[in-house]
Amino acid sequence: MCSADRPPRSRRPPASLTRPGPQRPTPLVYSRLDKPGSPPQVEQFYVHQDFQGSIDKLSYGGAAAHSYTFDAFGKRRNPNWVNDYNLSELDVTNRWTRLGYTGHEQLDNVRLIHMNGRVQDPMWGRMLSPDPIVGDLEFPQSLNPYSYVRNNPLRYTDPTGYSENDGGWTIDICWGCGSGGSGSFVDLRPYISYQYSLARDYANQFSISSTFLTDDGSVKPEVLAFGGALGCSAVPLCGAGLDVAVIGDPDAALWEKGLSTVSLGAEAVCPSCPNAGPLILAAKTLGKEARAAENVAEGVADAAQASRSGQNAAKGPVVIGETMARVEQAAAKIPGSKILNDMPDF
Amino acid sequence: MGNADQVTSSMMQYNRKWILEQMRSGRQIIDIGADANRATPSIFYQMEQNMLKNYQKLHPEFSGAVTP
Repeated sequence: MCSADRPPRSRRPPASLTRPGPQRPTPLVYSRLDKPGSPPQVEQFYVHQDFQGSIDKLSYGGAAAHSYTFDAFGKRRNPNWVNDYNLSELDVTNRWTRLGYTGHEQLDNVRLIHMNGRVQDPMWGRMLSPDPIVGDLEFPQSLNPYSYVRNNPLRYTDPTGYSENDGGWTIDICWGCGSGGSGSFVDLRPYISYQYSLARDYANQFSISSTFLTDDGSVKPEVLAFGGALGCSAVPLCGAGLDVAVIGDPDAALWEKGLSTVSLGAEAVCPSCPNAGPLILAAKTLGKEARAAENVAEGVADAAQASRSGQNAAKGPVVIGETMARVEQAAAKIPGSKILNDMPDF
Repeated sequence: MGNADQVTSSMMQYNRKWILEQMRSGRQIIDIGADANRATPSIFYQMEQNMLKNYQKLHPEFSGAVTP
């Protein structure tokens, strides 16, 4: 599991520009140990992670078998939170998993944490190598290339080793609030896996009443229609209605964009409607693709116009963006545009 | 030639220098934005965005950035 999370070290990228995406830890479900013998024995523990993805407990048969705790920057400590961890206690039989702080690999023999892109020293709370991403002037803490998650480890994690990731753990989605606000909130923390910051920013702009309900308090027709089309009367009452509602509400485009970066696990099941989980995923996918296509179309048209009227139009604009294929697609529609599509063979 | 981390670092350095040269040359920069379909954000694009943002702060006269 650990080695699969890291980019291979010996593979050389092609000469053309490739943008290797950062890797993120895969959530662990269980840890398995094969014991030699006759017959061979297998021991298996379920892995429990805390809100930052750190390994918290291993359980077997409903009871906690092992506990792991870490300080703010990832140094191991005793489960009683008082004493430093004695590495000698971490003997072979207890090493069910090498993952630890925020789901990264603990290099216990050298007391470091392998964060995929870089290595962090939890004693100092610093990375051992500088951040290749230039900092943001608006956030001076990010200008220190050796600092770990802007020196705010309780809020951010660093799945890639290159940049912090806002947990956004305050995001809950209301299940059952569509009919009038009497439902309960289900914590979606286990299902929200990446790019929390966007969703968190847009969360402030979102209100359920503006997306689920009309001005008179009734459920919007498009939400009902979606539920009817799927043969699920509970759709307006559960999270699946959220995506449908925002797709149909242009004012909620930003929130939809934020939501599109949030991935839900297949186990997201509505208590009142077992189909809700797959419905959420389907609605999200449709909305995400539609929005992405719309963004590109609008963006290219605006950019072409801006290019024609810009003061440096004679030189031709430079197109940047995420994902090379999108950039190439956009640049192809803008005459004289330039992109970074070649790179020396490093 | 180096390992994957070193190659990524070299590519990042080259990309950073390139975008800086483009901004200094006065070219218009068109940012088509993030890819909603990506599972993981691009660290190269993050760097380009930060460079653009910082350059605009340090050179208020630069008005070549267009964000659709």
